[in-house]
Amino acid sequence: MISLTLFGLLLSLMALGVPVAIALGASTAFTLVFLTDFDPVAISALMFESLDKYALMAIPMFILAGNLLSKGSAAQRIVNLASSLVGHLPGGLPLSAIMASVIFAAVSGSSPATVVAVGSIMYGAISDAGYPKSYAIGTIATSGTLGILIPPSIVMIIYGVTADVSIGKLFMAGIIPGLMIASMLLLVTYVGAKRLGFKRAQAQTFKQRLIALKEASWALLTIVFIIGGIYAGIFTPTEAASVAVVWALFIAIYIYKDIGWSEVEEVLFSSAKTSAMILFIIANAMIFSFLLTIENIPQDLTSYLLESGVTPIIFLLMVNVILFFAGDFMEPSSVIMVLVPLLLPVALTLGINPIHFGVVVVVNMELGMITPPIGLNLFVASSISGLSLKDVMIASLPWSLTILVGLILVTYIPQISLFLPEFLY
Amino acid sequence: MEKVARLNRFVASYALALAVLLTFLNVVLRYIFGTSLSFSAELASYLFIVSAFFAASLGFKERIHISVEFISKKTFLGKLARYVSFWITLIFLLFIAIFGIEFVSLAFDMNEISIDLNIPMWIIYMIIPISFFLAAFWHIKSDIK
Repeated sequence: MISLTLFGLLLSLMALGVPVAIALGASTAFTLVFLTDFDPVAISALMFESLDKYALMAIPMFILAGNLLSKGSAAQRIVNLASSLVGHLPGGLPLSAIMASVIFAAVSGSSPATVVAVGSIMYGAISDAGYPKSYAIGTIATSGTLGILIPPSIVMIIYGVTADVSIGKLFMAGIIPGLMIASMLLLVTYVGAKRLGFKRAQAQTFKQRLIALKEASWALLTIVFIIGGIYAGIFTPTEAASVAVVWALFIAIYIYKDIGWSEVEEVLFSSAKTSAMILFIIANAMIFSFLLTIENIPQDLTSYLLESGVTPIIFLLMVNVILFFAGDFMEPSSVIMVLVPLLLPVALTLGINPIHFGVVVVVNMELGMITPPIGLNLFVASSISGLSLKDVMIASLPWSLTILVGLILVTYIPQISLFLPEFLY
Repeated sequence: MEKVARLNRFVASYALALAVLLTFLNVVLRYIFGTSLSFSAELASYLFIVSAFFAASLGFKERIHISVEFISKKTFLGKLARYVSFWITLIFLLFIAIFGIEFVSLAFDMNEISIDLNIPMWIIYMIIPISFFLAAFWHIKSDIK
């Protein structure tokens, strides 16, 4: 009864066009007040407590660091480096866009931000060079999703807080799957370009590449601080994020001289706003999943599924299907906060490692970002290119299917995700 | 009106900036000087919460909170849905704000004190009623416009 009311209300409110955060909060508040004997004060208290978590603080910080770098020339320098490395191959420009997204993903924690940073520079360049639109926008929209798989990742922080697992380990677990999917995207682009016989650019000399590397080196050092610091156990992810912000501010103002102090306030506010959108969903989703937990709904689901004899292989397939559809209608943070508390207990009982499960969830969210109706990357890519959502989606199809293959590999070969964290910790 | 918006924006931005600086400062103190300020982690956490809720409030003015649009806004059904959605959002925001006051007064009665900062928790809990009343205010304003 309670779970039915809760999910029924959530879906109806969302269908009415109530903001997702409010739909989560209001359906919980209604159920809590009318169907349980909880004191309504508890909801206001939980709203506060749900954000009173040290790990969540990394979210606005990574967003701020990413915004400071993408506002200036750091993104351009990363693109230059990428194209000096792979620009001469068949399909050189789209390949460079993918490479640049991979590098930028390691600086920024969000996937739409990666699409904006790389896409606004590369889209024009790729179309002007005479590539079909699909090559221009498909590669940008899909490789941008790597932003949430390659650390740092906001989506992984949310999973870590929800599933109560180490965010540092999750970050490390994302590296190999991220590089694997990136290589697959590069390969598909390369093979396709070779077949279609696109013209090539002149290969750059070793010296030119070195210069491009030097130009981008300050921005690349951010990656060393974030990943290296967490990897070596020097920083917690939150501390690494604060170091990344101070570093990004330093290079944006004093080294690259992209922005002045007067513009910092604007970046601060826009970052606070982007973060608040995510954090407000988290605060509301937290009370939603609190109600699920106190009503023992996850346990009921677990015992139901175990009785019906579900095996890990079938369960993971189910998870992928459920997450794929949920990811189509909601953005990643709400999907994770609503579904992970339900699905993780089952996964744990079936002996699935929570870190591996997290990587499966994240790759799934990548797919959700490039499939309608709520594919955030589709929206961003469509606003950069002026193409319709449908055109962007169709253009992205070859690469989206590549990510799907990556998802299957990551789902059924846990070692891809677990090798690095197990090796390190 | 504009003054309230500017103040709201100021609080959201600079609370975040301070939270970053305090966290960074603690990293520096720990690795370079081997000490740490016990209160700074706690203060940073509260500043982060201040920034999140105050930016979320102002977000109702600038319509940053994403929703799914199934029904076209131009149809009768779409207009009705928008109307219902407006009221549900408003009632929810006021609900949290009003019970937030009770939450604050409970902490006041129990004399809860924060661990490291030694300030009464009710002052910190005020974030909830203030930011939710503000959110309700911006929500109404943005709809009238």
